Amino acid sequence: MEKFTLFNQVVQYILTGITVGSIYAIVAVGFNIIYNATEIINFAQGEFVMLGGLVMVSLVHGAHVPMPLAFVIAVAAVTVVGLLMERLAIFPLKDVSVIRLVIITLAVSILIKGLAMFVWGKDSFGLPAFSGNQPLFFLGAAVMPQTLWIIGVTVAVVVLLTLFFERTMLGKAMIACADNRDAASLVGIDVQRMVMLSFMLSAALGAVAGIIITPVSLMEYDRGALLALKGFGAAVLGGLGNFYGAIAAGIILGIIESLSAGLISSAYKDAIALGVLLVVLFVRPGGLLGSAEVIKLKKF
Amino acid sequence: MIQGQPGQPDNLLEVASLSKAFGGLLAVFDLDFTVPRGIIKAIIGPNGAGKTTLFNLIAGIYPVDEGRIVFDGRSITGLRPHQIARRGIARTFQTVELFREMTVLENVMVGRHIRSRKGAVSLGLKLPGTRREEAAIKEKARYFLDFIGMGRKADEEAGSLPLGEQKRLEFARALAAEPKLLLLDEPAAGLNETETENAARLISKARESGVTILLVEHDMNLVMQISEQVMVLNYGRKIADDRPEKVRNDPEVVNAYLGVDIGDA
Amino acid sequence: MGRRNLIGLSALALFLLLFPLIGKVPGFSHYVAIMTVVGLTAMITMGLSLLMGYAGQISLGHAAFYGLGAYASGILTAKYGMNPWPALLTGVVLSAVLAVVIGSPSLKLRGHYLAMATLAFGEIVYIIFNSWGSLTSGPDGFGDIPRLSVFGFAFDTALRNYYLVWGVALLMLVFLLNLIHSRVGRALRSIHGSEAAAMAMGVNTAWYKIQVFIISAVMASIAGSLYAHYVRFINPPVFSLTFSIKLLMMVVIGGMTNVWGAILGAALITFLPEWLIFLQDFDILAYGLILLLIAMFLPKGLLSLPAVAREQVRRRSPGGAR
Repeated sequence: MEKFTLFNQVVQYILTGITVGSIYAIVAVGFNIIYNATEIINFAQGEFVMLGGLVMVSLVHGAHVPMPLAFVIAVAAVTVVGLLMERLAIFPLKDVSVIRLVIITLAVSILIKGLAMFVWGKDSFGLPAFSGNQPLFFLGAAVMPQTLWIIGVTVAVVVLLTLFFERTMLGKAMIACADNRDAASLVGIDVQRMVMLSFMLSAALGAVAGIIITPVSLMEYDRGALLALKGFGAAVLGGLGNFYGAIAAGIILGIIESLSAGLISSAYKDAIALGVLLVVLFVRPGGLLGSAEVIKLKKF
Repeated sequence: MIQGQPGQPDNLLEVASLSKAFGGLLAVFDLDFTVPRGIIKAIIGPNGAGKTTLFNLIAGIYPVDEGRIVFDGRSITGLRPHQIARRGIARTFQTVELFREMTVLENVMVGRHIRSRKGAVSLGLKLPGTRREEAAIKEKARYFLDFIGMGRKADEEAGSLPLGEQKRLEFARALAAEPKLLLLDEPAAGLNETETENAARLISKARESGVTILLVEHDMNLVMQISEQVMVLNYGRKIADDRPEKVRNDPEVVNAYLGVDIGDA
Repeated sequence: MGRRNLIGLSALALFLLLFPLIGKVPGFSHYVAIMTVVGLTAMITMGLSLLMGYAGQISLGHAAFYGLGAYASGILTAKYGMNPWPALLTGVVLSAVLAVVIGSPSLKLRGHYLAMATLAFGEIVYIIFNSWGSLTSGPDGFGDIPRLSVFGFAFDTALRNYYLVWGVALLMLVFLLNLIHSRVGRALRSIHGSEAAAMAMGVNTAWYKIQVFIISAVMASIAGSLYAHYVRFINPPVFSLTFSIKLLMMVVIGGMTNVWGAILGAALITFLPEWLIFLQDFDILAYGLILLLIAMFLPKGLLSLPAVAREQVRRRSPGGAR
């Protein structure tokens, strides 16, 4: 039997970090998509993740729907939530100040959290791992199959999104909208529709993240806030609006958190991750890949 | 009000070798000029010539790339806007920047900010002296409101005024700071002929009370009527700086405006 | 401070003076306790409304300052036997220092960034309360916090605490009202109106923003200390993100630019669970819905309702169309 060395431990932590980091990455991408289309930071992003996990739980455990079908239905359901949010709370308002927008998305997140508490209560729920619990071994560290699923789905998400934004008309329209709203509307792109789609897409992404993480870390009604904070941290770290930056930053953040948990203290791991967010915000709000100038120019 | 004391430099404002670029775009290049104490000086030039950039450089909103700005004998290069205000420079804005939800009088009272001193703790606790200072602020504010002829509108909401009165209010607010130098950014923009006439009168009246005035303007009638010196910018460079009559006939200036006769606005 | 404010102040003082009589009515004996909590909460929301309404800054982490005051007072008095008043002062200084440390870089951030930064700060402090067991006794909390006393007069009954809390709250209100109707208050409103023009008039906007942040942090800290000596037992859940958001809600609902609105908001939200007992598990839902509706349709808060209603009537009347 191999000795469990520090090296093994670090590898374990890094693997865990990549796992959680993938979730942060997906959440960060969700933030970016809405931000790019609207310059709004959606505080309810974390709630999409939570809903994805919990709806899946209900479908699988409550209605005994087979997992693959449940996956699709859950994502679709949360996408509808995103659509509703945009149509009811965002679209009707013009000329809203930043503070008001913050409060509105915050209010929606509280509303969704309240609904979740009403429906599912305060308990934590789990899902069966997608392909069983037999650990595989990599460099002396135990890797759960679910971890591979998480990483795999994340990669798939990145690939699909890249294809979507670069190869489809819809995706390109969304990018045009993010780049220059007025020009986009001048060439006939329906900006309002792009905003709506951005919320739907972000909601879908959040749901996916929630579904793949629940087998590993369970899900409860109030997980949204911390996830949103960390996801936002990743988004900022990678440069707000920067797609690949968000992915990289999410993974990095996850690894930092996991190493901190393992090597320093697991009680403070969240505090450390948030501390990183604060440092980034204070020192280099443009993120590692963005630029300080951009932040000053963005009209907030 | 503000008079030049013996021993003070004749030039209230001196700008030397001033340059500013935005990205690759050169907004102001190697600019040298002075503003003598007590005059009205106008800066004119075609659109994009760098006039508002120059104002923003003097007012401390943009940092200077190269060069120096010396105000009343002391360098103000690199100072932030509120520090420059404290040195004695007040300004108005091209897009009228009033405090829309405050009353007319309160707007002018903010102009007295640098002329008053009490801090948060004294004011919160209503320590002795605070009431007196507040009364003094109010009185001076009323004075400047009367100066521009809007005394009766003291309690109206600033945002509800028509443009002409908003510009006048902004003018009073700047005057209330009792500045040595007043920067006016397109005072006549958006005003009709009568309003422009009134603006000219008010500006001259302010100068008579001892304020030096530097203005950016497109309205040539106004410029020629009240200025003693006119500086012309084109593509960020100075192409003329002289008395109005000399400038209007300067061929290079006429050329810069490409056929627009300086005689009519 | 203006005649209207003076009248309001007198009316409020009178109301608060007589309010405990309600406690004599059967079934309402706990109202005094709730009102005491309203007083503590109002101290925080008044400061927050100054921050949000005038400095235009948002804080989603103010529960942290409340907690800092509470824990500072609680730990120093219960575990180290310090006299309560220097302990309170320690909490105040600690909060002020943190306000500067967090505030200075944060206030340069705009909008969403600031909201997130304060949220992160609040969470970090909460995690420390929960995890630094040796100092704070962790999630279990600790008790035996002594009562406050002045020259032998101990605040050891519910009624005495009620009057103490509201006495302090009213003093704070007077301070703020004086401030708002002063040169500093105008400077703050000018920042809100047009930062560029404010700076041009010599207002050091960065300095004022930080000042307001510090004032609001200190007020929350004092409230926290009073809370610790009142309830005599503290544990982390009181100072969580949920509370920070509730505080935000109170300010928004009452009316952001209005100190009176802050008090109204504190009263409404604190009494809400009492009046909506039937909403047991719906409470978070109710909060979210209320906040959303107010933010969407009544952005200036409940206190603007008369003005908004008037405007709607004016628009619909025959000669009122613009």
